[in-house]
This record gives sequence, structure tokens and C-alpha cells, in this order.
Amino acid sequence: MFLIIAVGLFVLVRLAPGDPAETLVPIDAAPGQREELVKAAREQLGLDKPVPVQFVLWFGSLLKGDLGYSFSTHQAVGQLLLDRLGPTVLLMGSALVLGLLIAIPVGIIAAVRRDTFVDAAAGTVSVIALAIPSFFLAMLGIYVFAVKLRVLPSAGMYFSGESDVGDLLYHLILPVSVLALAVAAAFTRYIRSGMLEQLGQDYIRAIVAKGAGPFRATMHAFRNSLIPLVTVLALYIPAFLSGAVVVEQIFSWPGMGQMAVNALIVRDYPVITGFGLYVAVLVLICNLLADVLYTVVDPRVRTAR
Amino acid sequence: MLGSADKAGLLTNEFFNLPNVGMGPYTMTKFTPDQEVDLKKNPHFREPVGIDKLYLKMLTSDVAEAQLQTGELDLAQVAPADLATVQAMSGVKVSSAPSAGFLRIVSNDEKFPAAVRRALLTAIDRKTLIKTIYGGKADLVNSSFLTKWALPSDLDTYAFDEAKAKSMLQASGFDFSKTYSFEWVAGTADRDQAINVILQEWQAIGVNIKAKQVDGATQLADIKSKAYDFTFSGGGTYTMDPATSLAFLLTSNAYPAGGNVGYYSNPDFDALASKAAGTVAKADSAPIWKQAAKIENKDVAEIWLYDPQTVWAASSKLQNFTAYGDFTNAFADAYKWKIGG
Repeated sequence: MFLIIAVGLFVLVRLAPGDPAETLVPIDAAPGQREELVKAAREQLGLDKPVPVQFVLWFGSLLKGDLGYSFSTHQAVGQLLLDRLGPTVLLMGSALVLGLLIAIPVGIIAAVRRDTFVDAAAGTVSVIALAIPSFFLAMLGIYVFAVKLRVLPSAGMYFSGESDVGDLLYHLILPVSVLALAVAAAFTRYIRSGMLEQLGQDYIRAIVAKGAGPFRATMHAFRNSLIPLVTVLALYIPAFLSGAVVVEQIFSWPGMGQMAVNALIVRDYPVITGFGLYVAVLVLICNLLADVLYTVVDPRVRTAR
Repeated sequence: MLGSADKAGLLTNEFFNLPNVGMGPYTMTKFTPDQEVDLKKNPHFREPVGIDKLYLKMLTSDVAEAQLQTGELDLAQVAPADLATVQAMSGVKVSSAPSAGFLRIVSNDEKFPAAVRRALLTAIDRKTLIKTIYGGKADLVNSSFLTKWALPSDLDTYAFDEAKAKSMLQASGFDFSKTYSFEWVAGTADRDQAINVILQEWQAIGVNIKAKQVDGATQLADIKSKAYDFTFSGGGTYTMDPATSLAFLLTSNAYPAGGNVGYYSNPDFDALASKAAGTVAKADSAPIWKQAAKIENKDVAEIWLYDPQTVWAASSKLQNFTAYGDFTNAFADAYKWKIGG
């Protein structure tokens, strides 16, 4: 699987129009001699070799854990990804956790109190939150909380010259809230619909008939509604941990998304393929974890095997 | 100063290649990609430096404006589209200066002869674009030379005239039945706005043209294969000497050999410009440059638009700030800056 992904990535990246060497040499550099500079850049980057040779060299390095060097910054791609991983995991991970912490109780309450004011309010708020683009919410958040109320910083991970944890947490509040709102809105709907399906099942009626209280019955239903939720999460997490380009840019957050877009613009092949492999590995890991979690949340899956 | 150091080996000397070694008023202490560059004053600078630490932040224009208002930022370069917003802020001084480059539409000159380019330029209401998009903070350009001493006083200004442009285009033998594409790298608000207006103005004189947004690598690939019709170009540093513009004007610099991405070619221009560039004394070269400029103006080598001013918004706390438009020396006198108030 990994080999197929690697080959696919390598080929797809090279099918994109444009030549990294042409991009690296400014168009008005050394008038009359630019072609030689481009040729030299191509040789230096190894792009003068036939594509199959380039692949063998790249894949050989990859097997040794070497993702190569960025064409534009000359930094090791592995290090570049690691540098961006921390801020992205912090931002997106916090947003995901906060979003789920909101979505789970709200989704459960909305399902248990179906067709009541609470359910309608939760549904309306989640639809509105899903309909508003995150960049707009980000700008609105900056305007209200940073410019008008002046209670939160507008962008960045730290204030200039600062680097302590408190400062970092303070800077996380606004971007995490913006992203968490979108997560909460989406998952509230998933959880509500999963819960409604379970609450209508015969086993819930049987539990209630045996004298179980509403809380116990709800918890039974919630556990059984987790399977589709785990599936959605397995798909959601890799996309989420790939970064949020627009929000990262607005909040000057040095995450994966910005790095990937910058690499795409200049056709920085090693960074693009490195990033693609990172996402592919995340997808594989998350799907594996989802399979394991299925057995935890639903014993029938375990016994069926 | 260098003492016993090996002067011949300075270029490869490990110390001199460190990113925090420099001879300017500030040296770098930290670089966080996509976020910030931290600078501290250089104690060895030739003059006293007014501010101990400077932080260069990478922000979108909107966030920069927000931070100017909250006091998190003392100086920001502002997009022309946001000029009115920053001018309305209290405690913020706005200043501007002409930039060292200019914006232009590059036509594929192998497809579109000079007569077509002249008509297309006449169809663009550049004065209104400057007024509406740049709040008047841009200067009209009618030559690729930005050095005033190299320009004759009688250059054609190609004033906007839709009816005239239409008849010029009809007389040029332009093929109205074809659909042409205008490709550009989107994302800069003032350019995007201007291009949308220009495409409408060209459509008004009968040009079938479609917008095509591309990324930089695709744009270069299309230029190299000569597959493009029109594209957009901007920036550069052309104020030092008219010879700097030859990188995109001489036939010998046609892309990919050089920056002549429009494939402009006129042997008379080449001969005059090369002669002027090889003439050392300004008094001797100026008349030759003027002749070359006259040819280029008549040919409309590129469809020139304007030189937008670089707009700076500074907190009133920042003292001794002078606005420069040319980024090669925009912060050369940063040592004079002080924070007060």
C-alpha cells in the first residue's frame, strides 16, 4: 500500500505543470544567461535525471528515513514537517477535542429532547455555524475580541519576544474557538442522528422496561452510536491534521497547511511528496485505530472474528 | 577590522555565513517561518541605534490593520485597497512613496502586433483605476523606463478613449472571432480588481477574453511554451538606471534566456538601448535612452498600467520613520527610529 501511495504521489506531483528550476530562478536574473542558471539549478536538484532514476533515488532515501531537502529552503523535509507538526497538532488537536467536548453533550441532549426547543436551538446553531466560512468567523473574532473588546490577541503563537506556555494558551483561544465551532457544529449533527437511531431500538425499550433510568439508557444508546462516529473521526482527523490553510494564514499560525500551499506554488517536489506521505500515513494509522476502536466500542465486532 | 582573517576566504567563511551576522543596524536572533523574524540592535553599527529589538511579523493586511489599532504593531505596509481604512484610524500616520517597479499587462507580442497593443492600451481607463483602486496613490506609466532623465517629454500617453480604441483595433487586423485568455496569479486585491475592470473594458471594444487564474509555476510554463495570450506582471526594481529594464525588453533576453516574457523584439530598439547601456556618462547616454524610449513607447512593448505607491501605516508612537517605496532600501535608516509617547 505504502509503495503504491509513494509511486502515485511521485508521479502526480511531476504531472503538475511547471518546472521547479524555472520557478527558483527569478525571471530577470542574469539577463541572457538565465537558461544556464536554470540548467545548473536543475542539475543541483537532480531534476536533469530521467524520472524513473529520480524515483529510485528518492525511494531509496525514503526507505532510509530521508525525505530529501526542500528545493526552496534547502531544509531537510523531515525536520520541516516536524517543525510544523507541533503547531498544527496543538491548534487542530485542541480544536478537535474542544469541538467534541461541546458536540457530545449537545448532540446527546438534542436527541434525548427531540423536537423540543433545546433540539431546535442546537440544530439552528449548528446549521448557522456550518454555513459561516471559518475565515469569516476568524475575521469576525479578531474584530470583536481583539480590536473592539481587546481581550484576546489577534494573531500569532506568542507576543513578540515571548515564548511561555501561558502566552501560547492565550493565543490559542481565538483560533481554537473558531475551528472548534465548526467541529462542534458538524459532530453535534452526527451524534444527534446516531443517538436518535439507537434510542428508537428495541433494546433501549427493554432496558427501560427492566427499570433502568434515563441516564443509563442514554449511555447504552451513546455507546452503540459510537461506531459511525469513530468512522467519521477516522476520516476527519487526517484532514484536520493536514492543517487549515486559511485559518492558519489569518492567525499567522506556522502550521502544515501554509507550508503545503507554499510548496505547491513553487513546485517544491520533496516537500509536496513529504507532506503527501505524512497525510497518507495519517490516513492509514487513523483507519487502523478505527478498526481497533470498533472492537472496543462494539464487542459484537470482536466476537464475530 | 578583519585583523589576521583570511580576506580571500570571507565568502566561504563559516562565521560570515551565519544568518545572525550582518553590518546593518539590526541582526537576526530568531526566525519562525510564516510567523516572525526577531532582530536585535547591532552594537557594532556605525551609528547609535534607537530601538533595542524589532520584530518583523508576517500578517495578512486585515490582521495588520487590526494590530495597528490594538497597538500590537507599530508599522505596517498596507494594501492600497485598505488605504481609506487606515487613514480613518486614530493614532496612525499614513505615508507613501513611489515603488521601484510598475504593473503591466504582458501580451504575447508574437501573437499581438504593436497596433493591437496600442489599441488595447487606449481601451484601458488607467486614471480611473488609479483613482478608485489606489485612492490616487499610483503614477501613470507610459514607458518601461522609470528613470525620468531617460524619458523624452513627448511620449504618447495613450489616454483612455473607448471609441478610438475600437477603431484602432479594427484597423489593426485583430481577429475578433477568437477567444483569448488572460492568465494571472490571483490573490493580490488591487491587481484582481484592476484585471476584472480591464477585461470588461476590452470586452467593450469587442475582444472575446476570458480570465484564467493560474499559479506561478503554471504561468511560467505557459510563457515558456508561448501558449498564453495575455498575462500580468508587476514589481521589479527599475529606478536605478534605464538599463535595468532591458532584462525584459531586449530580444536577446527573450524568455527563458531572460525576463522578456512578452517576447518583445525590435532591432532598432535593441541597437539603441545596447548603445545607451554601454555609454558611461549620463549626459551622453540620456539622448540615446530617449530615442530608445520613444521607440518602445510607440511599440507599447508591454501594456503599461501604473506605478503603485508603497503605502505605510505607522503608529504615532514610532518616530523618525520615513516612507520609502523601494524595498531595496526601505529600512536603511531604521537605526533612526525611536518609540515614544
